[in-house]
Amino acid sequence: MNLITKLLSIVIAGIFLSVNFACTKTTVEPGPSTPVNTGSVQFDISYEIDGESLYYDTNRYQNDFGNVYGITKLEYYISDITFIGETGNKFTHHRVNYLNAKMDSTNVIHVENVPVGNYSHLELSIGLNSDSNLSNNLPSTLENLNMFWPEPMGGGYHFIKMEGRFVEGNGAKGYAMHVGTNTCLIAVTIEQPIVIGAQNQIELRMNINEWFRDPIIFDLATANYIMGDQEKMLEIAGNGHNIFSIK
Amino acid sequence: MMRKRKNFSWIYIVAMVFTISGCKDDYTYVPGIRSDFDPTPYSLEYPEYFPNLQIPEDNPMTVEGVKLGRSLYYDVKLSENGPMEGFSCSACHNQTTSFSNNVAGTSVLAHVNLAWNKSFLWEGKVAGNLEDIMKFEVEAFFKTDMYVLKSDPNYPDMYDDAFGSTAINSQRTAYALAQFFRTLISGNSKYDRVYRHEESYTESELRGQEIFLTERGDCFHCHTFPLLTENLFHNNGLDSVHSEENYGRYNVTGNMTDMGLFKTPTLRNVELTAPYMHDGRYATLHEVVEHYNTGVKHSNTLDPIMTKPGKEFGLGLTQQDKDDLVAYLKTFTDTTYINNPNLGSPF
Repeated sequence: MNLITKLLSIVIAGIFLSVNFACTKTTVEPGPSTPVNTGSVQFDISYEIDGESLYYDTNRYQNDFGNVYGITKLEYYISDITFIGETGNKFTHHRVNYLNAKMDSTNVIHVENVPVGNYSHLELSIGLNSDSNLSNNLPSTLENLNMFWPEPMGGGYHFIKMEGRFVEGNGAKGYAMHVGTNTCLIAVTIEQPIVIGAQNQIELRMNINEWFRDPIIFDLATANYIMGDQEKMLEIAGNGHNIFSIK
Repeated sequence: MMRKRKNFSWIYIVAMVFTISGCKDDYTYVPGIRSDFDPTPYSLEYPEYFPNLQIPEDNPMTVEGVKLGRSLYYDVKLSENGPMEGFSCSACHNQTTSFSNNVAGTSVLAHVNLAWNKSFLWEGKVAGNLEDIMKFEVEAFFKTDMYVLKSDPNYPDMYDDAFGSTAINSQRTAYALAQFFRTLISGNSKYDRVYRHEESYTESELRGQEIFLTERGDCFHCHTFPLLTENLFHNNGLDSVHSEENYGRYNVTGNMTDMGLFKTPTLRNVELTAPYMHDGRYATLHEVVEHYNTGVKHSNTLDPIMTKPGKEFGLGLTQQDKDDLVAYLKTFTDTTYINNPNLGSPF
């Protein structure tokens, strides 16, 4: 290979790498000790109710208010997964991930190119930020289309749909926790340090009872359907800050 | 020194056994395909805002496959010698009514946009894709007699054109029907044209849309854009006590929380598909709207969407609201679909 061909190869490789880097939807905020090497992370999402395994369609769980309830549907989005370092450095993966607790394939999230090193905690959003929460912004899959938030009510997508039934009197009544609109974006903080190496597997466990716990002890009987009720959507969104832990 | 010759005859015996056992299964055996088999790819078109459509690799869309499937759809030979003798698919699914029918006291689900379904029939008895439901229709519902098709003067050649040999079996029959069903796409109603900015709603239709897409009517949760069904199951308050014929999804899952749940039908062409609900109990769209307005009956499995605070005694719609909502529902009618000659009978 002569010199001109070698140089041409290097230029082409450089153009390719720069374009590839520019298309990756991540942001890196350098700090005093920004990691150089990167690793991949696989998040496995699992579910529990205060230590009990999740079984659908059975009213066997109890929240802090005392509602005895079950779950028939749990669909939501996770986005803007952010790794926060001890020195303030951050790495954010912006991709919007659809999850359905009943569909195993959706409960795995892959994040590439995470700078290796120590991180003090994770943050993520349940829902879509205002830049993403636009009608038809997500791929036209059946799942995304079923999560549409109607245009007359603001457009975009449902951030979470959690439905089920709770015991009331001698029978059962349905509940539907549907949260959406930009002001109700759910900010989650996972205050657990993690170390990122070349390949990493992290189990994120959602404790469903946290949706009804802190700071508002939520009573399903007084607010079983919250879509369109801004106050109640904000209560559920606010309770979501502690919804995940690392197992 | 002579080497001892090894006896490999057992290998041939084993191979024969596997070959013979493979021939016995009429559904899965794939006869030899001729070397010059070269079907014509079928270009399936649908609106860009529809969900992405997955075509199974083992049943690609071809012109010849669709032609065969269309012929079978309209042919009573599909049911000859079976429990539904004298019936074709089209006997109960008429194109002019969006491939449903208007027979009082019954309610067949319309054949429209089923390519996007993951479960089929009112109770979701069959899960999977079109190939799965067509297998059910051929083998369990019609119990199609393959010898009837083989004896037909045209079908052997049609199967040869579609699949590369004249062999006729239940899998190929189901696959051809699945290909035709995939072409049953409705996406040119006024609802679609307005979405594409090609047309505008009337004032009444706009008011009806507001009821449909907000908490006032809350229709959108189950009848989602653009298929106008989310393909799930709900108890929409038809009964407070469920008799056996209204067990619904419970018949499939055996789970008491599925008691009285039925599949959300598409609202595409709903103006044409009376009567309504799984048992055809409502004759008109106004009756359906009135059910949701004042007629919802509570039971333990009533869908959470139907239990909104303030709506326990109905939606509170005025007569004008109800007329507007019906006007909006009529915008889902696609006349190009019900008049498309490519979907009609080839006979």
